[in-house]
Amino acid sequence: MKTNAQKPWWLRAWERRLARPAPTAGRIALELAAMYALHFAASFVLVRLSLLEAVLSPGPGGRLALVAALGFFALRLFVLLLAPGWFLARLWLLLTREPPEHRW
Amino acid sequence: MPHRVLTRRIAALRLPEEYSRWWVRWPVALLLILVTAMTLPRAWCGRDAARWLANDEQLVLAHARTVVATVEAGVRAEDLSAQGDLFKNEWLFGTYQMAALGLLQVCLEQPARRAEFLPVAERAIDELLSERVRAFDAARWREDPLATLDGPKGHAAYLGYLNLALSLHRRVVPDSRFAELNDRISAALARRLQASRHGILETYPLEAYPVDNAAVLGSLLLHARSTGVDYSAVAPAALARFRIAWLDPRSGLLYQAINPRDGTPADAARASGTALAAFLLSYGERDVAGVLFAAARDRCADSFWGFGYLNEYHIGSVAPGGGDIDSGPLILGISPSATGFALGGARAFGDRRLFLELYRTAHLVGTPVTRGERRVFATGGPLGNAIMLAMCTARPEAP
Repeated sequence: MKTNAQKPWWLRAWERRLARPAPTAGRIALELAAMYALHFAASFVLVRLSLLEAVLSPGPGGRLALVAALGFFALRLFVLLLAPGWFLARLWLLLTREPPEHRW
Repeated sequence: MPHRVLTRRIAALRLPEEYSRWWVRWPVALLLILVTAMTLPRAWCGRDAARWLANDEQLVLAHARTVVATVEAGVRAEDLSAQGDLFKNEWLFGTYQMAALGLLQVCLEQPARRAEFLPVAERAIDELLSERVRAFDAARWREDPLATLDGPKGHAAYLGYLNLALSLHRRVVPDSRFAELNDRISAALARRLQASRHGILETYPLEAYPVDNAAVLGSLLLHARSTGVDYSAVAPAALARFRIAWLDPRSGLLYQAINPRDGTPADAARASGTALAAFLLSYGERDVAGVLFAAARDRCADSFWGFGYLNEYHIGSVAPGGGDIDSGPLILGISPSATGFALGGARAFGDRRLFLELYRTAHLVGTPVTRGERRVFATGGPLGNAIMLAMCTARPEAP
């Protein structure tokens, strides 16, 4: 058996990940709620910025706005498109987790 | 049941061991993500589309009030983020023009609300007429577009878009206070069109765009319906150019630019110009506008998981660049501007499916937020919100 130092970094990371206790259902729900709250708050802040204009005509002066726009769009895409499925998938993984005695 | 016991029971919930095999767990998890992403977001983002199509009063008024607030607060070129003074001032002009069109359409659709929205639409038109807003055109032509209506120069963009708002105002208010100016601008545009060697009016010196000429022609035909003025000397020939000479035979799309010296195409055939031209022309007539809309839809529209979009260049061709001020940045060839303008065409020509698909995308990208009695597309800014009002209230019949 290889020692820890002999294993590649990705294998060490994967083992560390497996060794962590599974998140609780409450934590999964809380993380989802936090993400939606962040998105909701960001939407209200962004009403004051014309992000679409920054995207349509990005200039050197509007670089920060462009980064903010792309960051927000990434969050929004995740929240609207992937987060519901991500939430269900995590619940599924929680319900089907291996018994502790079988865990690696 | 005590809280601690409940928590422990939930924590202990576990499906039978057969489900814990990796080749069951992970494919099902991925499937859950995929199926949810393919179904939930499209339903969520499309909720308002049917309400826009049905002229839902609450939704239309809430969005119109956002545009009212913009016009009442006033817009400055510095508020807009376009690159360069010319584009900033064009966007300033576009904000007031789209605000005027949108609010006038709301007045036509909801006559009971005229007292609230008509004065603001007129204020937007007053802004269009102001020296500061028309300065961008005067600077390029080195002459004031309104002071030189007897002259020969085109001023197609400024006068065309302005005249469209004036002609629409006249449909709402037959004894419009802008009627005399509307008559003078219409006469000037018709005369210039007739005198034009290649039937196209220049937007700026040596720059001519069919889309701006669609605004010119749409405004003239709308003016004719209010006044009975006969444009038969110019309109049929101009419409024929939109149907034949300025259409790319391969894609059916409008050329984005025409060389005013010889009438040949000066840019590729593109969806942003075609979709906007269809919308603008639809104020005056529906046949040629319908051909343009159908070309943009059939050759450029596509969708992914129910989210619609328009490619800037016809499907099957390769986008030759990253986009420009007309199209916005092209990501995988998708044109933000064409997608937005096609919403207006889809509503005007009763294409419910396309409207629904495009609206889902607008919802996803635009981020509508309700604040009190207003509804605003958070990422839209003054221009984006004015455009959305004009597109989402485009009328199924010519006004």
